[in-house]
Amino acid sequence: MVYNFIGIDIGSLASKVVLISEGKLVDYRVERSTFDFKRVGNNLFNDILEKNNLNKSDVFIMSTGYGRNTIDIADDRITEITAHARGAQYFFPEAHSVIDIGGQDSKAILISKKTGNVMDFQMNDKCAAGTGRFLEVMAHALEVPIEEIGELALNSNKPSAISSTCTVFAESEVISLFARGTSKHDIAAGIHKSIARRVAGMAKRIGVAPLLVFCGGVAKNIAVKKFLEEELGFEIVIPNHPQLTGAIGAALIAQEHNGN
Amino acid sequence: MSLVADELIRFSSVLRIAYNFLTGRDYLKRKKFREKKKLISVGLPFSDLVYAFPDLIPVFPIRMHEFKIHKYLTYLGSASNIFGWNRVTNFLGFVKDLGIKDISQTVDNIIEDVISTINAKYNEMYDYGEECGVPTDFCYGVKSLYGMNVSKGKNCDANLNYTIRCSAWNKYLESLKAIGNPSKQIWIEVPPRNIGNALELFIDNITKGLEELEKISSYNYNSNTLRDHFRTVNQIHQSYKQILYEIGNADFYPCNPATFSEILALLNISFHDYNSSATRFRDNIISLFNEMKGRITKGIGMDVSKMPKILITPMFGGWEPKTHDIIYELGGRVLYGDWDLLQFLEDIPISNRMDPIEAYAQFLMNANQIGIGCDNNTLTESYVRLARNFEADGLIFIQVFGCHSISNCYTMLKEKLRRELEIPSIAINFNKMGENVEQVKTRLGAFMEMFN
Amino acid sequence: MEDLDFLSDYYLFLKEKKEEGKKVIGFISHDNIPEELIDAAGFIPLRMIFAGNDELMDASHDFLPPSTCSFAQSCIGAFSIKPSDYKFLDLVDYFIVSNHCVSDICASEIIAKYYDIPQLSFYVSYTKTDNSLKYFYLELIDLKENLEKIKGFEILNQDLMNSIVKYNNFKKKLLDLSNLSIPGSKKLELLQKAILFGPEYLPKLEKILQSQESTQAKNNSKPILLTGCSIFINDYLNDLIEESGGNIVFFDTWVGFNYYSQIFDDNVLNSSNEPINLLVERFKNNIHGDHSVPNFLETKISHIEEFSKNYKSRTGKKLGVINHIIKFCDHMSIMSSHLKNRLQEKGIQVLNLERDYSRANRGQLSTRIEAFLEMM
Repeated sequence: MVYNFIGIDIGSLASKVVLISEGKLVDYRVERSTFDFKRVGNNLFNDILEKNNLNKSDVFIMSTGYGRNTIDIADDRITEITAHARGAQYFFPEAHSVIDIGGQDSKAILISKKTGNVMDFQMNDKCAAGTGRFLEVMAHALEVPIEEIGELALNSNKPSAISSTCTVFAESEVISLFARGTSKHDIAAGIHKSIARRVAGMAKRIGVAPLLVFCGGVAKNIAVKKFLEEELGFEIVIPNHPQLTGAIGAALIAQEHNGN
Repeated sequence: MSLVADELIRFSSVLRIAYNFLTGRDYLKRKKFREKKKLISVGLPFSDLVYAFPDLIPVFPIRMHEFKIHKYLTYLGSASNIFGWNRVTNFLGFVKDLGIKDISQTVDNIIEDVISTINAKYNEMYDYGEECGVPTDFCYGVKSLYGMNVSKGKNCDANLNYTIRCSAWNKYLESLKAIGNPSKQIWIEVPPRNIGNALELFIDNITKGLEELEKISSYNYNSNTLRDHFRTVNQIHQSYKQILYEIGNADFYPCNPATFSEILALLNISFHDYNSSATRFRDNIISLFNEMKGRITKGIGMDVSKMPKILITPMFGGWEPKTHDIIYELGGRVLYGDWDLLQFLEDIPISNRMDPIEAYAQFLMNANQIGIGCDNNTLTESYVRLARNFEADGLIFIQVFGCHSISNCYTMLKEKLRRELEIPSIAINFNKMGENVEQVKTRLGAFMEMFN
Repeated sequence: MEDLDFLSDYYLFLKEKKEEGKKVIGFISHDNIPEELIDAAGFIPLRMIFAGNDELMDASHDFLPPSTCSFAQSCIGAFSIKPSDYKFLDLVDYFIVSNHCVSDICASEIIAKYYDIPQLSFYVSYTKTDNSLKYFYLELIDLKENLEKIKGFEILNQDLMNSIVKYNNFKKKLLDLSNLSIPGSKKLELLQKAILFGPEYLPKLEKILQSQESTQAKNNSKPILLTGCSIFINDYLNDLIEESGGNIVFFDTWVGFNYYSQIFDDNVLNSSNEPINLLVERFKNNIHGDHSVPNFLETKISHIEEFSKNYKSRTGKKLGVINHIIKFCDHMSIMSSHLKNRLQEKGIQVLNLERDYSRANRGQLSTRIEAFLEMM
């Protein structure tokens, strides 16, 4: 009988591997996917096995994310929608909705209060606006490190209005605001408001409501959380490991499907 | 001071029209709750049948919203309540007594502010429409209409829906029911082509539409009421055309060209429902034309003979209002004439003692066939005709994101303009007001250099 | 992906007809074009039911902005590039410009104008009032007269009646096909081929049906009702759905139910002596077509609800609905959120699947489809 479950989440920017043992998170790895995400996934997997004294035969592997079909070590695969929902429930069993903002996509998921299963979802994977990429481009335009842009935004009480919905045009707008002398923190706040509005707009379409779990790499940015709460009109929660919800969810589903 | 106040007074008609547009909410509330009248939602210039009933008021839904009104307009409005619009001297005195400091503010700024306020509201409706689930594929015009209806549609007792060439329009009308709009839907089909006895069928459709309106009204349909209304409408059309062509094509304008463009834009927007009162609109537009002529005669205004005339069209799906400011800064003057393009300024032929319903059917059938047309060739021809009427030096075509009807014939149009009128044209993309203005500026800069 | 050899068979089929002196009449518009009238004139109706790809869509941008229906773009692109599979497009003699939707008007006009194909017009009212039916009659007469001009002599009532009966029997057979529990991909393939070749495909169809009666769909596949835009020939969508573990059991689209449900009862056929009026009657009864206002949404909701209920009581399985929306399709997209909300209130899960024909879309589509199936 297998008691150890590996969840592999291959995102377009970052790959995450987790080890779940008896329903608990035991170990994890995160690394940039690069174009050779198959190799990256395999390396992280082998490393996690080695550090936990396990062999491949001791584990059941579930893959998810953009590269889920290419990871050939996986025993099974599941979409990131179902995976994130389950992962959110690991941290917050009462989770009713999930917003995940990743490097190149964002999604909103509604979970049934009755069954705990996914009830509805909405994805944005066609456009960089409303994703981590948007923040990256804007941080670059403002000449601010991506890790600091959140805090910068929090120092503003007058966010600039950024009207362009397209990332490329918004970048021009940001540069032109900066050139005109608008303060960096006001522009940064405007950027965060823009991304929050976009994502909240998508989420409201499926009727998200508390308890809402905010996950994905971008959840580490405290300003995005604040602006999202403003747009949604209620408080939201962030797991300790917001980037791992997908991988954790995949591993837990593997555990459930294997009768444990 | 007197010269400027002079300006304000001599141009009061345009301010009246602006005021009536912006204060629709209060006006309509009074009509609905105090006078027990019923509101009928309309879009595009299809409001006329509603005027056949004294207790029905047509409204273009955005006018039910609250607008931020420039303080001068508010003073003007208050003054009109006390003194009446035409009591010039009293108004002057009123204004002086209020001790308004910046009286040097000119008509230009007020009108610009009016247009900005209206546009901001359109953008708000667009955003609201998207939030309420209108698909992103649709054009700006439909999205903002959707937003208007979701927010205020329930104040109306009915929607008067005409089917036209644009399937997005027709389907948007159908969706009003699904939005949860409690209003009754009255449909009038405009036959796609004028073949066989299509006109007779159309007359019958209009008659049936009137019967539906009659059910809502407490009055019976009276053909004289409708005939009188059409007489008013013909006067409106005449004055509108005079403003477009007599003034628009003149070498001397009664104001600076950017303001003139804004006035045309204001007329364009108000024409949907005549600001809910056709007689009042008629009076204002006639005096507007007279005021303009008066100013030109007195030499008040600007010589525009050296400024190339640029036609900007179409506006229905939405348009970037800063464009006329940009063109003005680049030395040109912008004209808008969309209702004439679609043949909505033609005479309704009631003079032949025809039944008014038949006259109206002929008028609309003509607009449908030659104006908006049922095919791209005819539509392209309409744009060319408008450019010809304006003696335009160039044409800016608004290619609206998501529009696949009126915005779709640019390829054909460009060729025709070059061949038949030998004038240059440029297409600019439009998605939402205020977006990509920098890019528009660059493209227009290059375009205007063709006229040096 | 389906094998496209049959398209070269189609080319030979059309070529043979042309050698017999028949004209090929092309059109984009869906359900309301009276193909029986074209058939009665001795001509061949060619329905543009071909999906597109990046290349075809790009080729249309010389004429239309990119924010136009992907299908309409692809139709123009097909005439522009004429890929080898589509060389039968060279055989089109006339093109019907119709107003099924505005993209239809634009694309069909552009094709007629820029590819030197003489144009025929057929415009359809949006409402279904008595006057709209009378107007439809006017358009039928107009088309009939134009076809007669081309033909050189009159289309007899008997010929029209014969064509109506022929198409009626053909559609009845397609209805039988739809009731078989064969894999969705097989069903779709047969529907597409049948609608393309027309009643001439009937003998082949009957033969295939007899051999197919024993084939069963995979038992563990999740049953799907497809609504919205049709899945046209050369579209990978159905493959994606089946790869993800779904099986379309009902095609509530024009290449599907909307087409073969437009059947006359035999007693109606027998009692009629004015065949043109039958076509008007059919237009009136076409309640599932997306062109008409104002009851499209309500009709669709009750129809899907009923089918879902029947399916559940028949098989014990719950249906999922995929609402296929081609980018910039006015008719389908505006109702999509209302359709989803109303059906979900009744416990039916809906995936609004928006797409264009680009290759890049494929991965995104499969994620959504898989996630939806996981949800079911």
